[in-house]
Amino acid sequence: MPTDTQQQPGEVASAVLAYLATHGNMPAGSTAEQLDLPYLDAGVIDSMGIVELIVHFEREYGIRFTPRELQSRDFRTAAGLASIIERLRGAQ
Amino acid sequence: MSSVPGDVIVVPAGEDRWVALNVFARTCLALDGEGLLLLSGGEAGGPYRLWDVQRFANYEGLLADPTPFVRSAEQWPEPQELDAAALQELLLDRCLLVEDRAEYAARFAHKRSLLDMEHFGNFHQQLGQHLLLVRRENPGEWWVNQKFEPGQKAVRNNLYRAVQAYNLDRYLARRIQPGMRVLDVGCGTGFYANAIARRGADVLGVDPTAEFVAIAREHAAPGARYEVAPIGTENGLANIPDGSIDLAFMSDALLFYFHPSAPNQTADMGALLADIRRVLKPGGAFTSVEPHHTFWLLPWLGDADRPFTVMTEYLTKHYQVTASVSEFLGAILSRGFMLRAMEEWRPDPSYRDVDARAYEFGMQFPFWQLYEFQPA
Repeated sequence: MPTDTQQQPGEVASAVLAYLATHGNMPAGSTAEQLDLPYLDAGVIDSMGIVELIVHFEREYGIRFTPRELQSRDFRTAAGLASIIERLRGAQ
Repeated sequence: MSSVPGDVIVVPAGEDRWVALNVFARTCLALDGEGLLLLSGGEAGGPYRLWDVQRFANYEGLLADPTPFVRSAEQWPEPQELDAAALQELLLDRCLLVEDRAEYAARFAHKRSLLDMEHFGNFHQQLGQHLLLVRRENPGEWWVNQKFEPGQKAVRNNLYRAVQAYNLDRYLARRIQPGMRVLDVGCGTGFYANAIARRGADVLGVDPTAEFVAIAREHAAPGARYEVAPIGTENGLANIPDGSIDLAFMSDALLFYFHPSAPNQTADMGALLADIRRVLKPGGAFTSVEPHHTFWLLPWLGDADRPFTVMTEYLTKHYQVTASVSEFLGAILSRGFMLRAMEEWRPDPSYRDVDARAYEFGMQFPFWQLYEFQPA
């Protein structure tokens, strides 16, 4: 994932960041910091918020996260979530 | 060096199959004898046969037998054949083996978020996580559906009917007089409030959940009314006059005052009990029907006619389903009530023909108890 400040985040990563900015309390920071922030542990969104986030991205991209993906460490950051979404889209 | 934590038990499943359960992590796998040898530190060489019988044990209902797979090997998936390294990895994943004792001990804690799989959490957290993430179901709907037939016209013919509804019906038959004023606190969808109204009482059902109250109103029996009320908050029953109720009834709701089911839950037992005491007439009673103090949702083991279970907690709760006797009675008796009667409920004898194992288990371990209190 392009978490380097030199690079622009991809389309999906931008969509994830935009979602967290509108639906949660994303703290100020560089794009790279926001991409790597564990958004749940940092309280950006709460437990009900995560359910809405899951449903939103499944609908938006026509995918379905497996329990294993939901439980993965990757799912907990915007960058990791974007990489999971891209992998699922690619598998279609 | 990995080792088997003391929380693991092994039960036979016939034909060289053994189910290893971690009773705290609530995980399990079925192994052949060679796999069992590997688990206990031996070297059989493999390949090992393994049946992945892991599932969320209480999905079928709070009262469903959590360990039917132990006895239904014919329904198991086909065995996998694994080498020693792959089996070792799976055993570690399920906490049947642990590598680091301190790391394992740290997993006994409440979940921090819906995605927290690291901590075992309490029962309500595990259930919510499973329903929302794996099954994608609304927990409120699941709760109602595991207890009632569609349309909520009857209790499903499971232990809710055979123990709770059966005994409650007998209690109400001798306790409810026509014209009595009854308050059902936490009435849910109104099933029991309607049953009380059908015996001629004038019933008010109150519940904090508006969607449950809407369903209750649709099905209201003559003599039953329903209101949304923030019970368990300061003056949550403010609309009910002092000294106006003969019997306050509460079922399957007090447990949440001892063990929160959601983060930031604010229900306050002191406020609730002060309100109940205030609305009771002199000589009035408060009847509580709750899951029994020994209700752990833990494995139903043993032969059908000699059931036993594995008791993992009583005074100090990790899994947090019910309060202990002293915790429960202490909370109520210290708030201006006296104990008048207590019953531990056995199943309806006819249920033996429906599910002999559940019947025998219920004969040994009561699933519910009834307490009747009066203002001191």
